[in-house]
Amino acid sequence: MKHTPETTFVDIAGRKTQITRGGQGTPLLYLHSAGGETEWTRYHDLLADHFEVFLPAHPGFDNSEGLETVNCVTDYAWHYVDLMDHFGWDHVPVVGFSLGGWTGMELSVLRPQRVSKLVLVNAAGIHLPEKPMAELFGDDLDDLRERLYFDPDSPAVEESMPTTRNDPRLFQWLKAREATAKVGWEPYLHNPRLPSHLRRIECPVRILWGRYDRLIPVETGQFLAERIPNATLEIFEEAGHMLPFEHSERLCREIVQFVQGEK
Amino acid sequence: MRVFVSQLPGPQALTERDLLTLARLADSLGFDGVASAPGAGRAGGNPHTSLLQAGILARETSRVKIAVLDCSLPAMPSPVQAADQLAWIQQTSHERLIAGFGLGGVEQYEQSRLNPASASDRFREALQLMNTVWRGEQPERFDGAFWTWQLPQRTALTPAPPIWTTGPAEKDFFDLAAPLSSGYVLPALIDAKTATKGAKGFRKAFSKQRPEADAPEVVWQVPIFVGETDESAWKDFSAWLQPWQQTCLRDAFREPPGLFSPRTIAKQTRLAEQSLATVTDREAISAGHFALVGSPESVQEQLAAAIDSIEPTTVVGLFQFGQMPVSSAQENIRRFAKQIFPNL
Repeated sequence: MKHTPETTFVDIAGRKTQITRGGQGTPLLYLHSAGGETEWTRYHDLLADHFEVFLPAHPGFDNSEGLETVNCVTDYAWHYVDLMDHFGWDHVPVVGFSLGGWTGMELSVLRPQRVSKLVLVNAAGIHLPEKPMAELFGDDLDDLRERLYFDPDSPAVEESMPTTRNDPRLFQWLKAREATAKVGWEPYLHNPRLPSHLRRIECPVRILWGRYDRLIPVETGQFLAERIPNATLEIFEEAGHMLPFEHSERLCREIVQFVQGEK
Repeated sequence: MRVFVSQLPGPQALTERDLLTLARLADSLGFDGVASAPGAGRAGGNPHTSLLQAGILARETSRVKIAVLDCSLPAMPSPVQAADQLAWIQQTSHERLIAGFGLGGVEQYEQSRLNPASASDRFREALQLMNTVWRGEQPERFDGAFWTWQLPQRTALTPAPPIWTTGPAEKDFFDLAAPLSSGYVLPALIDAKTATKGAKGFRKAFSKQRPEADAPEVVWQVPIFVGETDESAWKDFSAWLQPWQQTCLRDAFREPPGLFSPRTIAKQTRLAEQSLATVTDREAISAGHFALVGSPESVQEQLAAAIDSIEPTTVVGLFQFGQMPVSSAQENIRRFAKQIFPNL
């Protein structure tokens, strides 16, 4: 890792919130997935070459508190409105992966002027009856691995999730699962009202998806590209759900180009 | 100390009639109670089927206590209706009913889509509502987070049954259950050391939260099989154990996210690997008292040692499990009643 990230805690509207930040430059808000990638990874380090990356842990994840006051992903989005107020951000780019992508969309619906650009990476939040999301809450780690990665034997697996019941990361993974279930058990990982509000997203949106995402099918990305006014879709071949770990370099290049580009 | 008869049959192992046959036998042989779990028979975990079972047992038996164990309270559509049904059974059975509640299992949450993260709060509120109607102290309206209820009746639905709770032997469950119940049912399939720790933990939580109350019931569930000799008993037990583990017990310790704390779920996951859901070795089963198997003398010896350690007020013997046929279960219950019960 080139950067030396710093983890601190801030009070966001009464919730003790863990934030890891690293790099310099324009602030970039990264909203993590249900997997709870709240520790600084190679992927965050690559982004930090170009931005000051802010990586908060959602309430209930890692050492962030306040899950008892959260009931849905819209509550997470309001939490990030409060976080933007805390840091005095009027207009920042947001990158959201999976659960974080869903949160990013809700945030952009609530406060369209405050998101300068939005990157959605294999985002949850939308239910397509003909292409539903697969099961995330099972506890068979081998099944989950098959579902999440294009290549379940890739080194990216070891980097990003517990692989056995004795893995020291298991507790944090269970904690992340608990928080995700609180907001996404039913309706299952989506907000049925969100599709009708996607038109409210004003900023340019870049949608990045793995062709072989077996958790959230690529058709969801295509649906979002059609419904969000100013959105483009890029599909990664030979990729599954875990793009930040499976294709870190290319994904970062796409994000940097999009966020720093004219459009 | 009391001994109840219960069963945890595998798929298609027993009919509802068989379950009644075993309950009547227990009643006639002097056991203190019979217990039914929602998953037993074909109830499939439906809490209302548990109440129906209890109602039928009240009719089919004359003297034993009737314990409904681990009825999923958060899944009850209407706690007031359940309170009414329980009071009705309690009255017609001449106060032989014990209502055992738990948070339910993973299948119930997957099927109902009820959010497990809300289960503890639903559990607490459901019991609050039930106690309200049982005590006859109804306000005109009950406004909870999950249930609202107009209470036109001004009479109590009495008598109320004693409440037992079933859940993991962990602090977060004890903190939930101790203020709400008069008894704690240890999970089946765990070893005596874990059960001892759990029994102590619940007693401690209970005395801390309810210092004025009588000591709580602590209920130990354990599979029991009494054969003619050690060898014949183990031969039969081993033949039933493996298919039982492969079918019914695979998910016995699986919990949906949010039902308990992540720490408790992590512990349950590890416990599953050291429980009767997975342990197959005869020596390990005997040493851990996961099940009491052997000749009458052996079973009595194992039972005495485990009781010394766990100090339960009630033992719920699982005298039928897996694919054990009803005839073997009857013989098992008779042997226990004749050769072990008198010596307890």
